Amino acid sequence: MIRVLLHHGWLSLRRAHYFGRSMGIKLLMFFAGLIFIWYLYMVGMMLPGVLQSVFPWKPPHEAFFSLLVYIYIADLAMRLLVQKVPRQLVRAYLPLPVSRKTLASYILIRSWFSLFNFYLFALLVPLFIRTLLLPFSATAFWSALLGCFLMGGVNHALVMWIKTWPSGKIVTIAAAILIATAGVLGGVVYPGQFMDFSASIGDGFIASDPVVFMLPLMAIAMLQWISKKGLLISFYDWGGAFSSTGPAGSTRLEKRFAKVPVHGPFWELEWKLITRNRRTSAGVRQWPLVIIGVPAILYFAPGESIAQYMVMMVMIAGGYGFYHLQYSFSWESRFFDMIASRNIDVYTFILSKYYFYCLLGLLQVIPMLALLALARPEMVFPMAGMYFYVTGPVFAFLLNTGVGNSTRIDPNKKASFNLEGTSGTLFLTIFATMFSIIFLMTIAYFLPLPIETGMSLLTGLTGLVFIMLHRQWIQATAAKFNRKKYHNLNKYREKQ
Amino acid sequence: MTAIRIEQLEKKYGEQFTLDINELFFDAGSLTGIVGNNGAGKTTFFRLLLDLVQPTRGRVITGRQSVAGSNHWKSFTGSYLDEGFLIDFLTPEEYFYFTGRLYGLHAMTVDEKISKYSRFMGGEVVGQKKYIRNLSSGNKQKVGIVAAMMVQPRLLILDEPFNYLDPSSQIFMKRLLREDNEARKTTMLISSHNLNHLAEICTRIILLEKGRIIKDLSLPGDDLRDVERYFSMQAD
Repeated sequence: MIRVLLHHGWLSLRRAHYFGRSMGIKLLMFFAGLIFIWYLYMVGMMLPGVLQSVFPWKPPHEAFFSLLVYIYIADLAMRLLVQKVPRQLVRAYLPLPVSRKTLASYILIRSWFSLFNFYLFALLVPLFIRTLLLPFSATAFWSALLGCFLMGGVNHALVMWIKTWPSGKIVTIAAAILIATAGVLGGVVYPGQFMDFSASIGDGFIASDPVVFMLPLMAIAMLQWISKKGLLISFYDWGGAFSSTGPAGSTRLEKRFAKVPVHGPFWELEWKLITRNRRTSAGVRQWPLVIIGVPAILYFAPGESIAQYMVMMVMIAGGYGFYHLQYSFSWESRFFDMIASRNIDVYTFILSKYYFYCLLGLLQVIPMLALLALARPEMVFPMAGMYFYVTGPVFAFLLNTGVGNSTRIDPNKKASFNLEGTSGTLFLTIFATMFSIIFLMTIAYFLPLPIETGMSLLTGLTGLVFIMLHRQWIQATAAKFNRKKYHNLNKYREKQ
Repeated sequence: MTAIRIEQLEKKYGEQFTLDINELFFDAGSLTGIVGNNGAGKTTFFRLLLDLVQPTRGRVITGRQSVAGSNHWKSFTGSYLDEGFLIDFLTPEEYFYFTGRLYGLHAMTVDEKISKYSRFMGGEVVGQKKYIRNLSSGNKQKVGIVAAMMVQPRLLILDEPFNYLDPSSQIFMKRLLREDNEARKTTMLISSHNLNHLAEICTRIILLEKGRIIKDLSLPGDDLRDVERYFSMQAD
């Protein structure tokens, strides 16, 4: 039975909406994946040299192993935020003659086919070839790979346990506190001891010490066993009706939004859309993390130039709007017929949307700027300039391209790598808007100013021009929207 | 002979009772209609019967065992509650074969069974090379109902089966249910908002209000006008 269920898992992936798209977008997805792997591969190739320069008294493999625990703490933190449990299928099988134990086993087995369990190998393989296979032996190379796989496996088993346990939220918070504590202890209080401990694990791997393999194996087995027990209880939550995120009814904040003249009803709607949507509500919860995390990364990250962070800054400066406006009109697709048949002016509708995401971006950027002023003061002006740039031309392009390039979206789906609701053109626009900053950077390079100042001025001024002219380009977008009304409505409408 | 026994079944969300049934029996071969306004607890009741939600208290017994935490009842129970119970990335044929296989039916037997429902499906479901997710709501409903019925279960549970169906399909559906109940003595539990549909086929009607049974009528015999009056009063 598990084989049949795994086959269904494969079918669900192959037949997923986001693979049913045009060849162009499939190619783009393929290249995006390839770039990611290539990036990790290059990091793996260059890492021995970097480690040698940072830790000249240690051989590169030992230096790497002394960081192993930190890498896997970061990996665990990321998994906790992003990795999903393949639970969406199970509901359909619950009333059928398939035992719940079989279903639980299937979920646990299928969860191992996750990119999270393999992505690090794109980095580890070239790194270990250069630091273990060539100078030492094939045994050391394979042992180290196996050891790292098991460490990732422990993280995987931990995350599955946390996310399948009936009182998952409490366990998640407890786990997040533990990870943060481990990070602080390892990074600030006892860095030396942590690094020694970490290095000893790596030494154990290359010496093929059975204990260092047995311990994670036992941990994985135990966690999977507990997860299976938890799943049998959790099925009761999964078998019920899918609940929307957050309770129904207007919250105090929504009521405040609603009171804003003209734009109020649309703002309230927009806020409800992002907080009651499985995909976007996760982002709202991560908001405080982003505000603290970005200045922290910039504080600890090496490098002098802001150029290294440009693409990331475009997204961060746009706040939630950048992410949301990628899907511009797809979110409302489920009730576009209603909007089209009511006394709603499209221009006001888009204008409200624009103001709302400018405001949301601002709410994210202001505290971030305050933290940046403490962490990396030279980043304050570039980030402020970037905010204007994103809320100006970037939002303009996203909104405009969204007309005619958005499709119906399922708000219950929460897969993060799900391109439902977008198209090849929109996908390219997003890339173009992110990388358009390179064009400004090239101009800034020729200005008789420091590059940071030049960039801040250019992005800020371009942004301000677009912001000042926003009524004009929103008029144009609304006109385009009206021109494509029937075409779009047909696309958004559920196929009957 | 009793097919289902309910003992002190309670389901609470917070402090609110969604379902509170002290004792209830369903005879084998009975065809029972469950009616009630929105929020009366019909779907929760079915979910409890199918062990999809955990009762706060009490138990449901079918085949002499409690359904909670066991699988014995699945081999003789067919059910369809809503779209979430369909595997929507399969085609209807794939879904029928898969379901049939779970109940020990060969592909050829499944083909035979499906052909019995071909008129009900009206040529829009099978052989269309469409995934279930791309079917209309009515056709999805038909796929769910046919998959639940074709395995010839001893116990059939259908939640609002008449929803989304066109009038002809509704008539067809009633005929199928009645024939199956008479020929195979299938115990059936069907919920609906349409009292007329249920009155035509059911031998028993249970009226739920806020999770409690307020009327339990046998047909023919008891006066169905009581139930009609109840709904009229609720509307006033």
